[in-house]
Amino acid sequence: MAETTGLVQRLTVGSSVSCVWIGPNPNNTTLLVVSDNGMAADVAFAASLVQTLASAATNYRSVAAIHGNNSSTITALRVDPV
Amino acid sequence: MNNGKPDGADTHRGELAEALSGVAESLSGSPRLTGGQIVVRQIGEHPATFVISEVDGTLSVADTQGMVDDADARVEILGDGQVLAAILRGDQDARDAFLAGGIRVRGDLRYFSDLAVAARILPTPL
Repeated sequence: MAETTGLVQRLTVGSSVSCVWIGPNPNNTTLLVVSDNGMAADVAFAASLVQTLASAATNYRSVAAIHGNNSSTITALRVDPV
Repeated sequence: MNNGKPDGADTHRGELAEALSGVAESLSGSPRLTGGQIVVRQIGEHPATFVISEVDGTLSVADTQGMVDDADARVEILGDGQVLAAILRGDQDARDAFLAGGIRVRGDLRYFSDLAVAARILPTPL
């Protein structure tokens, strides 16, 4: 598993897929996505991820997004204490 | 090589290199180019690293044999060579391929988006 840390520089929320740019500054970010498989539990989890990312973005909190080594899909998210 | 035929490594490396050269040629002279290297890493069984550099408005593609300083990359793209080549040729939709998994993009995403739109890899900016 890989971990991308930084600020949420941009968050685009879509109906089925949300994209997020995470990195230390706007010119140095990693493109990651939040998606779900349509199942109720997965949809709820994806919504929770998006809400957490949005909160981190508005509060300038650093996040650590966990994803596969060769994948851009976020599987877990960590918000570290200030 | 195997019986005079290129093995998987040579085929995939050549396919991606050819696709990158095509895109580099189409972007050369574009006002969107503002410097910096674009590093494309072919991952998987036969890894390879290509660097797209700009010199006087002309883009060139170099196979670095894996020897490239990550710090020099303004944009870095990682993925399966066949998938990346298909995207660059226009045979596969970039967004669909990205969402299907196996591709990572990092760096100056706004610059990447501008170039991808200019190269008609993306229909709209990220």
